[in-house]
Amino acid sequence: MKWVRSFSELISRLENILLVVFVLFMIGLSFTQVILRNFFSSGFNWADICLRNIVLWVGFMGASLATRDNRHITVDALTNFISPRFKLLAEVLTSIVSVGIGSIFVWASVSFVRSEYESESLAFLGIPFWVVEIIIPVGFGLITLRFFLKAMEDFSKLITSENASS
Amino acid sequence: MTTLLFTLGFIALALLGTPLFMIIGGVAFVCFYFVGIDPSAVIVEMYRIASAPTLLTIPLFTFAGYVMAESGTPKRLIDVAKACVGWVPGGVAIVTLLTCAFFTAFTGASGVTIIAMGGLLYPILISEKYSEKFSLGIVTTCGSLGLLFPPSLPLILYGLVAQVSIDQLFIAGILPGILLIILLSFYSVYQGISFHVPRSAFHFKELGRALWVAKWEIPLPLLILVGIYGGYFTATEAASVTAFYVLIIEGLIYRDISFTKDLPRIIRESMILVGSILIILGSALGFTNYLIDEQVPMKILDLMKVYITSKIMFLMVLNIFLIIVGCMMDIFSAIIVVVPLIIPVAKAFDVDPLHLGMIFLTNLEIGYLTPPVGINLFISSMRFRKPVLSLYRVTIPFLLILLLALLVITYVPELSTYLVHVFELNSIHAPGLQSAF
Repeated sequence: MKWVRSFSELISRLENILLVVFVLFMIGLSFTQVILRNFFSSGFNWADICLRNIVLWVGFMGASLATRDNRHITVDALTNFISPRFKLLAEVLTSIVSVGIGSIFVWASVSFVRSEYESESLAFLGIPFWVVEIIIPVGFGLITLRFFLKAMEDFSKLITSENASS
Repeated sequence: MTTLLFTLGFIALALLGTPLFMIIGGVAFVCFYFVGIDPSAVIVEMYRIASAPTLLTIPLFTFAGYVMAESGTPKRLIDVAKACVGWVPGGVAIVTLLTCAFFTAFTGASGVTIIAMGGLLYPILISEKYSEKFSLGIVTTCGSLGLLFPPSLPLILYGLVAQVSIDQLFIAGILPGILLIILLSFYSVYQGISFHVPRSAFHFKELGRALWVAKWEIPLPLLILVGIYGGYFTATEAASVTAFYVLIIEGLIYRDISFTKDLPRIIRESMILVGSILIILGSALGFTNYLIDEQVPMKILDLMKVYITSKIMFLMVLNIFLIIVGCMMDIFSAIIVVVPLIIPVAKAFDVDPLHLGMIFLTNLEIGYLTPPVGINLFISSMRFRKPVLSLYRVTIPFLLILLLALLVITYVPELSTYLVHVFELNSIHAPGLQSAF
């Protein structure tokens, strides 16, 4: 378990660095586009599609970090009102469900990227689409992994609180 | 029977706190499975996100908002507003309204306003002899005030999902947004007088000084509006200019943000919000597509037509429905999930999509304050260490005022559409998500 956790921490450090690089690049490139278009009536023809795909990458890394920090958007109408013990139980249940659905997401996105790989179409600057889209299975993989870790953690908390109360 | 079981199961899981994108994705997978479509279709739909031209505005404006929240902007804004309206009865309360509205327009009502602005304004309000009840109520209410003003994230998201041009939405929100502020200002003046709050005198010098200090930030909304409507740049370009500009002024001119210490954290925080919105948007695209293929909106419409015979009645039912939605869901997921279902129905009842947008966002703004689960109530309760129950009580007068404004916005559609007509923005079909494919 320990090495999975340190793997997750390593990934989150990498995600942080990539996020900073991507966001700064995104601001820089899009601003350059504005300048080029308004003052020189030119611009890079690959920039728009590149920027939109960067948003996709940034979005997935953000979502993955949101999982790590337990900050996903939920409709938790109930959880503000239930007892701490029941809340922990709910956390275990929702994490397990998330691991399940997350695995389907991974599987579906792997088969999506595979079919794009076979089609061999190019996105921009000679980069094929499947390379750009690889973030989808990778992102879902990381999200699922983190839900798995969270499920284990909550489960062990549940066990300890069970022992403490009995 | 199985359908019912699945529906109840997913609803229960959602209420227990399963991330919304997992719920929507799970529902989509189940639906696609039953009609025999390969699950990778969900991902195909998801990747369509990357074909929406206005997508870029979401991370850029959010980043700009977070940078301002972390810098000295809140303090400088409050100084300007105080110098402007501090002499009016209820002045500081109006300062709260104005500065929070400005701020929320940039941070998109994500709770940042209550934490960044409320934290500064609450002690000022108390020291100026406003009652604790009123002060708490106003800072909680203001946490979502201003989300009708450009370039707020909910406006952009509504434009994306409803396929309405963002340029039009940015203008449409101005009058309804001002209405909200005016009504709340009246209440503030009344409170200011009844608490005998001391008024400060108006000094041109003071105003000049405050304006001079904030000279880089105050023109920002103008830069965006003039830029877009003067035809200098598109909404997306406005976003990149804003992000770049804010980074330069806060980092190099005011030096409030350290590039090495603060910037990585700000980027991370803002992109977590962006990611958690985009992943819901992405998973919802597959599901919405399924619903539209199965003609669910049309079925809802047929069902409604049996009971609802007029536009007025439709709007009434819509308001009640949306307030319930608003107190269950946060604004971003509510837009993503509910708008695609409502748009065709609203069209059939002849409701302008711009007007619908204003109704929608005002309702959800009210939902932020509605017990039992309005998010502002909880954020405020954490920030100011007050029990949630006491917040239910203090926000009631504000809630009533907002409901009054909602009625006006709902039944006076011109409020939402007048400026768009004045500026003669012709309604070209906006490149949203659906038409991108």
